[in-house]
Amino acid sequence: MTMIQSGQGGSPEGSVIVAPRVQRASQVSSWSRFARAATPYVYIAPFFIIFFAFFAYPVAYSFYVSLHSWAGQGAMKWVGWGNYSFVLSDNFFWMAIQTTAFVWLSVPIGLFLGLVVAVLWNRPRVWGRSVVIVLYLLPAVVSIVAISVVFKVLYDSTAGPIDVLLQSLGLQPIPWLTDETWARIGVLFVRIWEIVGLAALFFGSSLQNIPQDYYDAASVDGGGPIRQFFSITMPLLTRTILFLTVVNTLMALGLFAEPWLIMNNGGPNNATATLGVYLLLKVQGLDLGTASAISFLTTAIMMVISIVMFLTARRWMRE
Amino acid sequence: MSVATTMRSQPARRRGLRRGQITGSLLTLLLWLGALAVLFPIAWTVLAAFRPDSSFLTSPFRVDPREWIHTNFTTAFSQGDFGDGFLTSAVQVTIILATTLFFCPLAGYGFSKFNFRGKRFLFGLMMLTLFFVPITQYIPLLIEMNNLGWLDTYQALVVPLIISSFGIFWMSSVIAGVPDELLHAARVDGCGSFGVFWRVIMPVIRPALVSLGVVTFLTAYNDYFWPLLVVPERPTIQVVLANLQSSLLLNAMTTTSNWGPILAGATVVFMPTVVVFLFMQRFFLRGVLQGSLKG
Repeated sequence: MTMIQSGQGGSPEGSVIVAPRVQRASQVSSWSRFARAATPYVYIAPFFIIFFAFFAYPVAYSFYVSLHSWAGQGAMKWVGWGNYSFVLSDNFFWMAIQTTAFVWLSVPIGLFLGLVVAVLWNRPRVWGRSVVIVLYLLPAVVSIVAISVVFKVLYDSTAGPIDVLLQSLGLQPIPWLTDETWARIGVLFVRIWEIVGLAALFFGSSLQNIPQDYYDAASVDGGGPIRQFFSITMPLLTRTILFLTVVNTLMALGLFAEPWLIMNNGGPNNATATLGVYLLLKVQGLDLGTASAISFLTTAIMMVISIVMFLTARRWMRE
Repeated sequence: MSVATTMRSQPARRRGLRRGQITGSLLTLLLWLGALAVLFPIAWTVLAAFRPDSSFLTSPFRVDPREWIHTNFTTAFSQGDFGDGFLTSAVQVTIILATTLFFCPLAGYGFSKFNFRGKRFLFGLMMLTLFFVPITQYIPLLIEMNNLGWLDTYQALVVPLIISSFGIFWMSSVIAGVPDELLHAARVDGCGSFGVFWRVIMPVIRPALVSLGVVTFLTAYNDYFWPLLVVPERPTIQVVLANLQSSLLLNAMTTTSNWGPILAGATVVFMPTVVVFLFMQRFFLRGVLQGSLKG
């Protein structure tokens, strides 16, 4: 009975790390050798079929569309880079970038609050900790439509509970849905509300991976809790911070659901029109060439930002 | 040294314990305040769904079970197509769960327990898809669905979520952790590689599969924009809710008088996810944390 262990780099192509069937070499037909080599490809094939049919091909086709002017049906008119230059010179596009950048602030704020929450719930004796965790995670579980419906009502200036509460305290009600600045803040708040729980969850898990010995050693050496936080906790969290920042940044850059649903397709006077909203507006207007161009530009922005984040992170992750 | 520190720390511990207890309780209180603030929108929605409009407007914060009614729900159900919506959503979610829970581990098995040419490249290609935020994929997919004549079909509805790259990535790392000895043993007993997968790996990774199932369920059930774009004639439950909101708001003279039904609708729509979450917390938590903190 021979069991062949796989070597580090020495396995022949297509070989299985798992021990092969027990057979004498002469019994192995060329068909079964072929089958064995093909096996892994067969297993990953379903994914790649979907990948090519419903990802690679449509994306490539969409690039083709972005070079045309098209209304979804009928003829496509070649415009070359026309759509791209239109978008890049469109005021709406730049305004959308500003709005998206503002909404992105939900990421540092949300992550910071998540960290605070995680530190608070990671302490040794927290009364009702499992309930607290469930409460903080509820926003992650509720669908975006439900969230939008709820906040649309909450934010209403005449009878939404927030403004009613403010009025009963003698303060002015806040025009969440009608004032441009407040609308953006409103969207920001919703995003932060959505982010905090999951961020706290990830941070909590990372915090638990930090050995208590580090803290004990620091106490012995005279370090107080603040010092411990900055010298032990933060450096060991950089990986999690990077991961959460990148993921949430990508989501913020592509954000469109909250402004679209809560603020009626992009806010009072397009104040909350993010890049995603801009894209959807073009789709609605059956301007598919421009919409495709926007989606490529957005993806390009996302890739650039992600790469920049990774590179900068690598520099200060060298601790 | 240990004796000295023990002796030194005991009296210090007794003193510090009292002060620490107060700060500790304050911090816990702070944590709870935050939790309640986060809970507020959802809790208020559920409570408001049961209240008649009039009391709703005059005192949005009062909680009085005696005046709880169900008319908001009946209005919502009559105005919105909830029955069909749930059916469509149920079919959608079932299909996506079935395909994801089979094909993702299968691909994960291929990637983690085999060596083959181009493995790293193909794996990277798969991970690349994670960069393409959904909205940028919608237009290309929509055009393609249109060209294929697949608008308003179930296949168009499920296509983007059938096999998730994140799921494969996750399953790869889980399956990589399955000890090779188990696989060897199965081989010795005469299993082919698929047999190994089906008889050994799948049962062993069952907890992770459940987690994947929970996360997939939430993603599929909560999806709004793709169903909106691609199956307008056959709305899923999320689209039903959104349509309900716009039709109720359009019909109302003032927005406030139709809140009851809208909030009732929202409650009905998010209840399944909350219930699943409460029962499957452990699996959800494990699922969300998987694959992100390795190394």
